[in-house]
Amino acid sequence: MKHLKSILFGLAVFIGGCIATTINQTQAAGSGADFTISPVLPEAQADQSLNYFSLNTEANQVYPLKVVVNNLNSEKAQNFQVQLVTATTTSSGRISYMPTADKRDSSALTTLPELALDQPTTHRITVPAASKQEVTFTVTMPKSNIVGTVLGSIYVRRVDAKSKNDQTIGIQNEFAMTIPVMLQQKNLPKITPALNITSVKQSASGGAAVLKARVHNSKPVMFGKINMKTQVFKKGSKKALITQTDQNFEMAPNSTMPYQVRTGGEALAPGRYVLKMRLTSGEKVFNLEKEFGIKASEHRTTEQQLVKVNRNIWWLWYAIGAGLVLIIIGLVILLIYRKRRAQK
Amino acid sequence: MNYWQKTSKLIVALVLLGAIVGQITPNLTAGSAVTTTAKQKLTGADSKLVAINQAVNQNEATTTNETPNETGNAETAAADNHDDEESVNAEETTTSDEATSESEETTSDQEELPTNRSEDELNLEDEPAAPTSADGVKSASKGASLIFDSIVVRDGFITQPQSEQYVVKGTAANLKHQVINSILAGTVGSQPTMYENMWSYDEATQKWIMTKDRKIDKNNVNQIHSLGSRYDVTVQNTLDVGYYYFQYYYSKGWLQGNYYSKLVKVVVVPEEIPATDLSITPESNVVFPNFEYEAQATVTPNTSTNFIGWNKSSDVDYDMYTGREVDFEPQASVIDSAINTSTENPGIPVTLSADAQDLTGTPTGVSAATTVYVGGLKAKSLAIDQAQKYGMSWSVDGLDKLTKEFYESDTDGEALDQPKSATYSWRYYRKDSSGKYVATSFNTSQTDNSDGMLNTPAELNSTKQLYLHGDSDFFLGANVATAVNDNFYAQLTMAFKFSKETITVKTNFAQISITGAIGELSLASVPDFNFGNVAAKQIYDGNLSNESSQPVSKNNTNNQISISDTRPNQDGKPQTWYLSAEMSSFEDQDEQTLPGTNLKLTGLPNSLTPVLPSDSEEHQILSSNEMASGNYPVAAQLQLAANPLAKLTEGVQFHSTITWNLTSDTPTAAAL
Repeated sequence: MKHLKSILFGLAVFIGGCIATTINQTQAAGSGADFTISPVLPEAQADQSLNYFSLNTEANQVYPLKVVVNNLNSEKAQNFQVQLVTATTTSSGRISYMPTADKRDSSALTTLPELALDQPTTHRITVPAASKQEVTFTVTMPKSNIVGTVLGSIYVRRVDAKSKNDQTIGIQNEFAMTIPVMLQQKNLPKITPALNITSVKQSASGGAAVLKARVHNSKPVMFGKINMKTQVFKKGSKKALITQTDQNFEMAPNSTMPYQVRTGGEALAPGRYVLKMRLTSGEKVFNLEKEFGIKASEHRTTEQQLVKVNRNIWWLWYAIGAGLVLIIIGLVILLIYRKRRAQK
Repeated sequence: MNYWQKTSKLIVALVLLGAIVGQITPNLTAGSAVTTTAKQKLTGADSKLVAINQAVNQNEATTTNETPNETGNAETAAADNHDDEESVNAEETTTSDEATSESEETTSDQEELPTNRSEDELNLEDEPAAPTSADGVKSASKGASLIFDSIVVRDGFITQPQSEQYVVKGTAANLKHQVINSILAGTVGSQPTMYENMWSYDEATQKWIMTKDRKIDKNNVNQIHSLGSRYDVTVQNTLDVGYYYFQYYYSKGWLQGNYYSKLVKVVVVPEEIPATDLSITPESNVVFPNFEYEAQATVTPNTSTNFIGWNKSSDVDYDMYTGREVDFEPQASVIDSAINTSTENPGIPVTLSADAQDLTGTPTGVSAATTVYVGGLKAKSLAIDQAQKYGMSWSVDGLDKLTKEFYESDTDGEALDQPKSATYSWRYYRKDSSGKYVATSFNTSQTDNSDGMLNTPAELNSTKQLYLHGDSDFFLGANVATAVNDNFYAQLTMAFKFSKETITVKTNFAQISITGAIGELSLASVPDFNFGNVAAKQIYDGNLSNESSQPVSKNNTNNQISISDTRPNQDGKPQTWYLSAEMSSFEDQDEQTLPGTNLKLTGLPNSLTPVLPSDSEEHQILSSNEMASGNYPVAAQLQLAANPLAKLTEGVQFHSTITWNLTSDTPTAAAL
């Protein structure tokens, strides 16, 4: 019996090691924004009831975009970053007025930050406790005026010291407010978006395979109420492998939507495929198509990051463990049997 | 018989092989990676303590009596322990900066670890597992509770001996402890007789040898209090290099069993091991005067022989000024003389600090400090229009301690004394006509829960939370006072009625400033999500398919999404707002990320459960189309996609930032 115990002990150590441990995860400090911002709308703005800048611009004209940053904290001064931002489109089909790491869209004739000629497009300011401070960006229209719509925002982010406690893990809060800026050329002509898919790539996102289809709007026009239907075909086949629909999307002028097509947990096998996308906005319908390939190497990289691969290995280890237990129990029974027989 | 032995050796080898395979491939598979983590987690005094407690508890179940000649068992156990400890050691021998990210090296180092030990050296890498109930260890009794030096809720050990210490051979180990013994109080010989059990580790047989029932010399006992005694037990310089454990006990009374201390470890080493780092963890960051709280110093390396000396301060009293674990008691003077004007600090800040000292008591330069807040009450500051629109509630931090000390009974379910009833009352202070601050009651017709009865202290943050109605005259008065810089301040007093006397607990004074109208939109509050411990298995396997296993944020009392909108209506309708958020990916020190981690927000009205992915993209959370402005308590579920290739090492920390973005209005993207 003592040998059985020692064996079981060894196994317990081995299997016990395979069972979960914990990781500390806690939070960082912060509670409220303690500030607010408001626009000071220029005289040129026709609709003064809006809470954002909406200007019908004329060539060579100069417009002040002024915001008031109000520090609501009655005890301490706060630092802010005030920034001109170009509007972008998110993967879930929303216009975002927050800064992104994206490159400037090459199809844009101009952008909001570029219209602030010879001025910094980012200000760092310190607002004393319970005080207000104004920040003005002056935008100058080109000689030939802007074309279509230039969309962006004044983005104000409170700048906090990094959380000091290195021990904590988790989530730190930051606070921002935005005031959108929409500049449209006076007597705005009707502009039809020009859409195309610039690339389709397979990758893993959080253990599931997705296709990232980049949909580019190369015209200075924003539009919304977009219904989308996306299908993926094996090249030459007429049977859709994947169909995905989405409603009520919107796109910013001169922007790319990094749309994601879920491939149902499985990665697509290496080969040639065709992605077809139909976008409908009001009366307009856009049919886009893009042929793409998945290389074996890309496929492997994706596969490695999928959940199911892990599952196999995880269970393999349990199986090996269980197998060992069975072998050992068998051996022990055999031993006891032999011992008893020897005693007889 | 020959055959028999061969076979058994084969089996042991097989099992060890299994364990080794599990060890050396930590990054290939999820399962074995966990193995590494599990072991690496077992560093630091806290986890040691846990390990000891586990050992103590777990062995209550095993009642088998082993005969001394069962060496097979001991050998296997020791062999496996060896494997365990090697991971820890590799970790400990790296410098502290690198210590967190070396899982690969940890395992590959295994074969290179030195195995040759000289006789008088103690291989700290090969530490034996603590003695267990099989060796005669008893599970520790729940600690005593003595309130304000006058009411005993529970008898027992009020100060435990130090959980673990590493001492240089020839120097003394500190095993001081204190007990409360109210039953014998006042009678002759009220100091109970204290006994010591000691276990020393015999390297040769790899067994614990128990030295039983040593009576503590009464000369070492000091009457610290009418209800308790202190036992200044030091083990003098007689111990050889090796591992020792101690446990103390005294009788509860005639035929009623014993109170047992924790099992504590003393390791005697041949020479000094200096500390390279020190940190302090208090039992709670929010404390009340006259309560005793534990403070734990975590020393790196854990095996350091340095003494930890705590710095005296007029704000806190320590029960001992030396040791890795001490109790501290904030002084009432801290809150009597100050008004908290900070809306972020839950009380008056005081500092706990300690430094590592060598054998001569000289500080080595390694030190640590941390801040605790005395009193539990944050200051309030809000604009008058905001206050009038939403009213104002006030929560109190740090109340858990009161529940723990007043209402929890001992291990046997017996409590000597518990509050028969409890009351609370809020008072605010305003300047009277002569310019002196006077305590004033809240107008009960305009205030909820300004006075009343309590069942538990926690109710003060839920059903009995102070709430001032928006139409309260209080705000007008406070607004005028703030304008002339004579801010109101407030204090909560709780009274707990015990059989013999009443204990009064007060919060600090906290300022209320009611500032001028904003007429603005602002994000008044967002939640601080805290998920406590997240199992490594959840990170490897994900939890998307099992919603009930998703960790839910803790301490949601103060977790609110609060949109303050005091802008005037436009065309008879409230103005619009949009709240969006962008969460960066969860990243550790080595830029390893956890893709597919989401937060699902729950608790909002209208069954809204927005999900925020960690994709660094802006996502809509709420808008005025869906709910009115106001305060909404919110919790979060942490959704984790599987990250089978994650490398989880000790001290791994995943950080993310949520940027909350409030916009009043956005242009409409119309259909074409």
